[in-house]
Amino acid sequence: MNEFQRRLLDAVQNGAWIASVARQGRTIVDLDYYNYNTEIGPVASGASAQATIQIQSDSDFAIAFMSGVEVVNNTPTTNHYTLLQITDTGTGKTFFNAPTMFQLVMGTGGLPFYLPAPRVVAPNTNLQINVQNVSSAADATYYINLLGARIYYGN
Amino acid sequence: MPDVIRNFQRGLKKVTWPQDTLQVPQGYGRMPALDTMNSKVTRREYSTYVGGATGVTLNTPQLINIPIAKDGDFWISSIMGQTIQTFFVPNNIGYVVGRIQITDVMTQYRFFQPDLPWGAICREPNLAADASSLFLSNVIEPYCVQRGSALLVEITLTAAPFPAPWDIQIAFNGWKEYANASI
Repeated sequence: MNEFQRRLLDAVQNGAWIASVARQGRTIVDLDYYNYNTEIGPVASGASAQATIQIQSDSDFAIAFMSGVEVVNNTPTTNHYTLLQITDTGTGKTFFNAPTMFQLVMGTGGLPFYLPAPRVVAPNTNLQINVQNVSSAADATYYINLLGARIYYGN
Repeated sequence: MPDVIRNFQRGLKKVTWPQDTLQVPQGYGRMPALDTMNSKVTRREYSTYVGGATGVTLNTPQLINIPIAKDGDFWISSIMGQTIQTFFVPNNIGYVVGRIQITDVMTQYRFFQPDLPWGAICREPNLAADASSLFLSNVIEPYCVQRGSALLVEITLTAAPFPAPWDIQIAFNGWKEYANASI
């Protein structure tokens, strides 16, 4: 690690964002921007489907943004009614208290949803993503991105 | 180590883990340095609370009760809502007009005094493809709803360019704060 990287890591580790997600007593040796994503579908009108995102074993993943798009008839659209739920299977906790309209938590018009606070997922954890295509209009395919930082610990 | 970082570290409040019913696993999380008033906060993470109503018609007040879980306080950062036609058929019609009131059930704190039209607190995204009414409001200062409380949302739709009934969903985005680590 060169001097610049070392000083940058020192500064980042003492920032409020990292302080809220870092593990106590552990030394952060690197941070990487990363994007976990998945595709679900096509999901028939009225049906449900799920996909799993596996978090890699070498780092925590702190989610900072979520973004997604619904594609109907090969066209991205916001004119669709979809319910979404994300479950951290490691802790059993869900991201939302109840299945939520896709556009309320996945951004819209190309703009991501900015999480008010980071959400950390432990290594080797599966995130289960459930979608329900409530709309009676057409089948839909969903693309979901979780953007954030991978946090590597040295001990 | 630069002095600014050394001095910052000296100013950080030491955390004493709660020694009551829950045992905090070794090395689990770290209290953020932001909150020095509440020394029992052990974890903070994003969450969204949602509530909805179906079959909403004009000039009919709708009550949406959203209970807050007992495992952590919830800080509201922004409020988003969406209406969509009950028949779930895509349409390109504009926004719905109505009034809204939000009450913290435990403290009886009302967010608006009196009820506000949506237009006064919300911003309608200017998206050509947006069919349903999507409103967004950023809370100027995050508002804390205590664990075990509930949010009561009263919505009355007063006009709409497309016929009733509608489904409504309102989402409160923010973060949960845990006083004891969840296991």
